Amino acid sequence: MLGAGVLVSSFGLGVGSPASPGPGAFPATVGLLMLVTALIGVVGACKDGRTVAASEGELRRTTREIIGAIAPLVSWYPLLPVTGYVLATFFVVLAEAKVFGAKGWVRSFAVALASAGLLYVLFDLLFYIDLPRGPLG
Amino acid sequence: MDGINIHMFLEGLASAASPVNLGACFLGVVLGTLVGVLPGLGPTAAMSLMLPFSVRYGPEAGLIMLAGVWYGAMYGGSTTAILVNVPGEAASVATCLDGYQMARKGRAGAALALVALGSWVAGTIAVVCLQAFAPTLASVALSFGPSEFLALSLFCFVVLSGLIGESQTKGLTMLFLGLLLSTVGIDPLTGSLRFTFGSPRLMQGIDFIPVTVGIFGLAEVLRTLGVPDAGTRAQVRFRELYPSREEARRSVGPSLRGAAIGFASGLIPGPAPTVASFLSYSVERQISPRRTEFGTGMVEGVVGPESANNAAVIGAMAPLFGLGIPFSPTAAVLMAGLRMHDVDPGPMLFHKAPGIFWAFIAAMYLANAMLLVLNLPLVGVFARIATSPKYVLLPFVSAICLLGAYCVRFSPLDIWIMLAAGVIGFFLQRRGFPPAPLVVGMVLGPLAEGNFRLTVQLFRDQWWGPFLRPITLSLVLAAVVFQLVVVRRLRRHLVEG
Repeated sequence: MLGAGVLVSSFGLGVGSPASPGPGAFPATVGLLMLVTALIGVVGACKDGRTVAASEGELRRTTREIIGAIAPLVSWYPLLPVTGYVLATFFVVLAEAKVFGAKGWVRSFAVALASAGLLYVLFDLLFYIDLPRGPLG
Repeated sequence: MDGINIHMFLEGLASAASPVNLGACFLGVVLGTLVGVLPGLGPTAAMSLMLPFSVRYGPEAGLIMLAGVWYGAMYGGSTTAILVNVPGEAASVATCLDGYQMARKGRAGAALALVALGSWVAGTIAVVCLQAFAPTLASVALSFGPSEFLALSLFCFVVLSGLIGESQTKGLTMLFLGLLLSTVGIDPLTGSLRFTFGSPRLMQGIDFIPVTVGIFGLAEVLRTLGVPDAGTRAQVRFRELYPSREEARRSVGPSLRGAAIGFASGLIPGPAPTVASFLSYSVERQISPRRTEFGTGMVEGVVGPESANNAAVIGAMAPLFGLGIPFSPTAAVLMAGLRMHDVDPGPMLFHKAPGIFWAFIAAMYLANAMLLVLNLPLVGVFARIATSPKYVLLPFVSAICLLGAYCVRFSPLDIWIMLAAGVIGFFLQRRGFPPAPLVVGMVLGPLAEGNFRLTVQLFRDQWWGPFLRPITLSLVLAAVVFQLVVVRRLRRHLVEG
């Protein structure tokens, strides 16, 4: 599907001529190769009689876990201008520690504090990276 | 220019030994080892995470830091393989077989010391070979035209997709995906916009680092969600680090053989350290009079693979520096690092910026020695880190992924790309799609496209023209032969095995 889509879009960009290959020439070639590879894969899978192994329940559970782990990370950038990178990282690590099974808030708090402190040392004192600091200045 | 240039090497050594460069090397070695001991996170992930920060130190110190990270991550992987029976990365899987058994017999300290010494010896031999080989390769590559470089890229793609992952079609799919991602943004020749979907941020293209950080770093964090914490670790006391005279004697041969196997493996596209470590293990078992005892804690089965994977890392740099083509994902990350510092690896490097190459070589000696001195006393600390609960390590790695992606261009787009690459990469890897070809595709994409367009233009009236050029023809034939003979045989062997 992706290969076919790329192939069509590449022709839209213009493949040019051998004397002057256009911006779509290389993506069109790659799209075509992708399409051929996918067809070989489909034919191979049909020949072997392979099926998708993951059950629907397992997939649902995994998706739920992934969303739980990604949600705090998504909130990092919106927090950045408001709280600065140290506090934003603190909150993200605090939430992630809970996601990864920290029992009680004290442990999660300690992990978040240590991580934010260590990252401050790394980024501010060792790498000299100028990141938004928020209320911590 | 050919061969070992002592004068240039000494200049490189003087440059690498400056306080700033030594500090960068030290930092790289420590950070690399810290990431390397975390299960699943190998040198590619470690270097991707450190790449944006290395820019802060300038070309020399930045690249020296990356060399330290690479070495440190390799060493960190073997530490967990021996102490916890959890390989930090694929190249340390062979080490688990006898390394953990040595640890169970109370010889963990000796195993770690011998691995460090063996890796140091093999690494030093490989660096000497690299010094001689890379400039020679570069002088050969000076006669290459676009069709030769295109054929070389093709050879690299075929071999890499054939050797990595469970299916070549899946490897090729990831490779093509990487090539496509490299075309997003402004076309360098015509200035046309490609696949930007009207987004001004996408005009600057998709940077390689957020994708690599996501697909190697975050995807690994997500994979660990459903995995229980690492088991108990073997205890190591400092006085136990001394190997017996018999163990030391038995490790000399495997270390030297590992150096040769590793360096040669590095010259072939693919996961060189992993291939080298298994090849070395197999060779050691074949030639040993005590082959039936392998798997019960044989010194040869630990020192050989570890020496080989260390030498393979260095061997893989010969095509990178000499030809400008990365033969492995880790070399691809290093190539991206070189480009971030405005250094173009390849034949012209030895004319334009020879100091960078020689400082890098000298830094590898220093990093090797630093690891030996630094890591043996700290073995217990690294083992403790490797066996820390998930809720301590993984949130920290996630935060590093966020900061690493953001610091590339200080653009929110890179954060979203990293998160998307992590989630998509996690599901793709679950379905057996290997991430390494995607990384190589993204890095080699612009080079392959440039050479593709030049070749088409040059031979527009005679499509068979490139095949009349001996080097192009040889590389194309090598790719075909490799595909028809080696890949098929290897896959049949794997299926039967």
